[in-house]
Amino acid sequence: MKFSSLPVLNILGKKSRSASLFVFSLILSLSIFGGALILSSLRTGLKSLEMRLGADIVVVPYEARTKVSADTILNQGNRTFFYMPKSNLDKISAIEGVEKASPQVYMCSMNAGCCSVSLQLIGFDPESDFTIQPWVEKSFKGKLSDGDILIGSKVTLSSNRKLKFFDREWNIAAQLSETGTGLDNAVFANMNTIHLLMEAADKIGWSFADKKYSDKMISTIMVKVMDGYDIDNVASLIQRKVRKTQAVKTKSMTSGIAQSLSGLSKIIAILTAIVWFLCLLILIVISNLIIGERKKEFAVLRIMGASQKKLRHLVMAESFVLNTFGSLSGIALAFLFIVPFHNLIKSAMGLPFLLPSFLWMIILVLACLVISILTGCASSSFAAHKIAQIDAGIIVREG
Amino acid sequence: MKKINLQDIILLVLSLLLAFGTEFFFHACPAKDDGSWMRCHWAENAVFAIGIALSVLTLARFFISDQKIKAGISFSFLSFSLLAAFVPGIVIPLCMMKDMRCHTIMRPAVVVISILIFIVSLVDFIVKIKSEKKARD
Repeated sequence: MKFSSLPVLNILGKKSRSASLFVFSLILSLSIFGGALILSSLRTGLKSLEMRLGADIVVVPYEARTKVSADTILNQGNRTFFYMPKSNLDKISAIEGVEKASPQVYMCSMNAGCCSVSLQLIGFDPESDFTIQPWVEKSFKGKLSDGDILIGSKVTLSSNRKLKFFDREWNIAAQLSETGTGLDNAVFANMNTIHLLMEAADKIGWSFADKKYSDKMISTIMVKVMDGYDIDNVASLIQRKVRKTQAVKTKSMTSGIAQSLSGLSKIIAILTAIVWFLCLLILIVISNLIIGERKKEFAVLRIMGASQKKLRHLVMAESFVLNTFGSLSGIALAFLFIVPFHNLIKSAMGLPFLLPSFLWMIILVLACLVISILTGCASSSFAAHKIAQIDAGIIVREG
Repeated sequence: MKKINLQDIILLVLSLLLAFGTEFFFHACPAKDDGSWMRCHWAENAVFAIGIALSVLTLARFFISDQKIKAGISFSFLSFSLLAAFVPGIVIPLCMMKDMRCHTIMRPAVVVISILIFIVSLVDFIVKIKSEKKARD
């Protein structure tokens, strides 16, 4: 038997002792990786929410001001409709400080196919749009034809790539990438398609707007403010010049979510730090107790000729093997529970939640693996130092 | 009854959880207002049936002493667990919106339990094959 195979044989030989160290190492990496993955997903979600808003100001009809908040439109999905005259778009475009203004039309479906859920339908103008288009371009490069729709990532893509709304089938051009917000539940189309949808709805007795004026109505206007202009000033100018509208600043829409996220991030970070500290303490205590029990074993090894350095290496090698397997299992367990249940976590938190990219996840896995293996090995280093100091003669004489 | 090992107990618990958990705790979407079921209900029923079959097979293992037969049952668990994982969403389509109960609760729970059954039965299969080989040698 080689000395190098001794660590593995020791681990396998004393199953309950190894299991206790393995379990604490697993808990340590589970909490570190779980906490880091949740925090990272919340941050990615907020970033995605801000990117999807894109505009500095959202102008809505005055009566719809309560329906437009980050929580209703972007987190839960809007599933509502309200309209104002299209002429407001020209008035807003002419206001000083407005760089871009693009209209959007909202409507909602009765239900889509088998499952009794209504969907938010959003019409946008691909020519002037600057909020949805950058997101669409990630999944769909072509030109959106009349009758084509784009579906959010949470709408299941049917095998025939068609969706039925108002007794008519619509061709699905592409499925958009996930944003972690309520926009994932929406369906997007160009303005002509939205008017065709309105006509189809009207035919089955579902009126959204007066048929005569449906092409002259819009729901919101997304506004981008020119550099050097104050967003507050432009918003109040819009409200003064365009009657019966409300100019909502997107910064104010996301600030509440950012605050909740910051609070939650702190709680998760503190809890993870507490678990890490407690696991470190417990691992130190367990390692010391185990070493105390194994004094005779190490004394025999010393008498057989093992140097102090070799004993230290033996203890550290055992710790490394156990902590590596424990950490890998903890990370796998965190993956197994967070990734499949991420939609449930998102709805329970009520915050934008988007899993980070594959590359970022690999970085997180490696960082957490290193932290938890180092923590485990550091907890054993005290015991390794202690064991190297033993006087083999005294221990053997003591029996 | 023969000697019961830890893997048998874990497999029985997981199989029962797959069957009755899917039926009572992490079930699919409820019936519609008109009393009709959405298509995810049939996925729930299929997973329940697979869970019951797995539970019966695990119970049968308690009365079998032949390691080869036990290894064979473990091997069958591998395909059963994969089937269970693929039933919701792939073999039987679920509801349209991915934020509905069948997508957010039932499918992830079934996938997680199926993966655990797969891992435990794979370990058990390897252990049984090794011990059988050792006994032969």
